[in-house]
Amino acid sequence: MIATGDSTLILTSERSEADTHLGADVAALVETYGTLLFRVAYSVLRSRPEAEDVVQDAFVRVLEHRRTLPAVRDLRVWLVRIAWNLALDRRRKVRPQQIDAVFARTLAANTISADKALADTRQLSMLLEAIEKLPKLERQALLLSAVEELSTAEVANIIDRTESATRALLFRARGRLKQRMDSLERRKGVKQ
Amino acid sequence: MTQQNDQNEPLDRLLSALGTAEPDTGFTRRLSERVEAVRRHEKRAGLPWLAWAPGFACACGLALLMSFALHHRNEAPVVKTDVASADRIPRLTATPSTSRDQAKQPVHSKRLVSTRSSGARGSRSPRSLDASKLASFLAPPLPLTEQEKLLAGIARQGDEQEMAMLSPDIRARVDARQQAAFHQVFEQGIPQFRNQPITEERGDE
Repeated sequence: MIATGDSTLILTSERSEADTHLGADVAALVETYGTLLFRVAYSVLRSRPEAEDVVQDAFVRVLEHRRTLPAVRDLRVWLVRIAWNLALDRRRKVRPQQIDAVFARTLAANTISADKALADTRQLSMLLEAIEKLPKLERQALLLSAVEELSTAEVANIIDRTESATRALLFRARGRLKQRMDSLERRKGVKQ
Repeated sequence: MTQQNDQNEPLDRLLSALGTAEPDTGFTRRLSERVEAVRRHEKRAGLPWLAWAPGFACACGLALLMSFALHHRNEAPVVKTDVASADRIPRLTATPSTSRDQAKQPVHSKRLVSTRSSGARGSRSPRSLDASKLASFLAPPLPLTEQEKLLAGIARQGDEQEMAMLSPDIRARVDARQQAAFHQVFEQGIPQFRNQPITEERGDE
């Protein structure tokens, strides 16, 4: 029986019994962590169908490694790490520029009028491009910290860094982004 | 401070949009169905012998049927036999003979008579029957001995004198008569020849 209410995995039954109740356990995992894993994947992929596929693949991996479930200390982090790695793999296969453009357009169109939405879309696209150009660890820390359910400690656990190192990564990422956006704004002002 | 917030506003908005995204409707249901499908597939793949189970059951059933058929074939009574071999054996009852002679005929002949008299003679060959009907037919009898073949040959020719010789009483009487004739010739006839002169033979020389 897997307790999904907190981050601790409690396995009390025998292995065969665990196999028998695996269906119910995985269904409980889907209910509890489905949305979280979707947001983690979405932060990388920015596409709902792709993120949904990643979550499905993540739970298929859970089924494949069900024998190792008793050895998992932090089920929540373990699941997020699986989804995160799968999302990174998938991002290499898809065309991120097109997906990011669609995402930026959608996000801008939700808020304001058409002409301002166009400017917003350009700004968001530049921002996404700048995020993608960040160093790997800074980018990962920034995107994972965007997921509301994940604390800094959990983000640190996922990227295999200490909590303070993760905070430093976040700080540097934000500073680097601000610099890049400022320089882009200046270039744009000079052109105008 | 306000300017800094303005600069961070697009980033925060972007991160917020990423971090609070909601999946499409029915996401959990689709996810559960997919996971359940994968689980069922793995369960089936974990038991590959199940794919062979129907074939194995058929083979077991066939083997059971064959052993049952062979068992009954070996245990069936000899009297019920045997249509095909009866065609090969000559019909001894066609020749005239006494009831005592019949009693002394070999076993094969008795079997043949009983089979034919019961009207169990069939026109079909056992080879044309299917396996399920083979259980009711017995194995063919042992081949005839040399004496039985001789008797069958005599019966086929139908020579009355030879047939009569098959009876031990008749044969005993004939033997006794021949023996008496022999003694008559060599015991009573010799003294007559004793009085004849031997010189006749010498004269011939």
